[in-house]
Amino acid sequence: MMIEAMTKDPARKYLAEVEEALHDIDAELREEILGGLAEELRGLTPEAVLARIKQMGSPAVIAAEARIQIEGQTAVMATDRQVEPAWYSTVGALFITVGGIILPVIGAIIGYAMLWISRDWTRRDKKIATWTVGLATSVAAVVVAVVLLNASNDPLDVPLIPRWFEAVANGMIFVQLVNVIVGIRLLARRNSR
Amino acid sequence: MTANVGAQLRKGVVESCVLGLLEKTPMYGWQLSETLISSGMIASVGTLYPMLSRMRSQGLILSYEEASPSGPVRKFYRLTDFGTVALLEFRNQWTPFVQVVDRLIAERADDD
Repeated sequence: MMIEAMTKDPARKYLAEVEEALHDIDAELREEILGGLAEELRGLTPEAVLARIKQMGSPAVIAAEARIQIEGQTAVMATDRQVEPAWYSTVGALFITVGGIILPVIGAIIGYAMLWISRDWTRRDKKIATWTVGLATSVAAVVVAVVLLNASNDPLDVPLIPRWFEAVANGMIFVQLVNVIVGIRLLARRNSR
Repeated sequence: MTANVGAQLRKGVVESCVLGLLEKTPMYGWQLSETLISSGMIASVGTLYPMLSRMRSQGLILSYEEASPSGPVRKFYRLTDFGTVALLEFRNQWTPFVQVVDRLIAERADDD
């Protein structure tokens, strides 16, 4: 147990330092670098982990080299790909969180579009967010359909608010709550870097 | 210029070196990194992944996950057909290019 903890800790600490050093570069690339380093440290003895970390080099050097590569690439591609402003992903996450309240449905769609365009989130972040809201929308649609199918046909039973309206409104509120959770998670992921 | 000439030369050919390595066999990131660092082609692993990412987006290489001979699952990189063509083109140009440069920069023969 002790040996296992010793094996994991230097690797985890090193990867956290590399992640911090790479905080300002493209999320997918950052994940690729971290994944490559992590797979190399996995399953090694504590001594081997420390030796491999020494070979890999300091997080600052890795980040500096990565930036040189990216900047060279950006200079070449500057005409067809603009650098993303720092606020873009935050605004996208805020649209997901509250966009649906300000502009029902459309606000949230804008947020998800910005999420997929942004290079600040990993593909995994994007997929989890989109699948979560997709699943929530499907569940809401099924519940609304079931409620409407089971609605009373009694002509004397006329509620103040039409049942279809109440069911759709409740479904939209449920999806909006899920959007708030998804948006907060995205903002927390971004702030933890 | 003198201080940067090595870096500039490496920058111009390192991607083709990766293509050449991957033509022989698929390799994972650390394998590539060790080979390129020991050959003096890159300075650190930080150089490698942005380059691999760029080459993948250009369709020169592909990545896939597979258990390595030593056990853990790793991300391997291999050449695409487009990458193979790009490597052939580079090879076709490299030798004549080196010959021309050699001729142009050849030291002046001493007149006795």
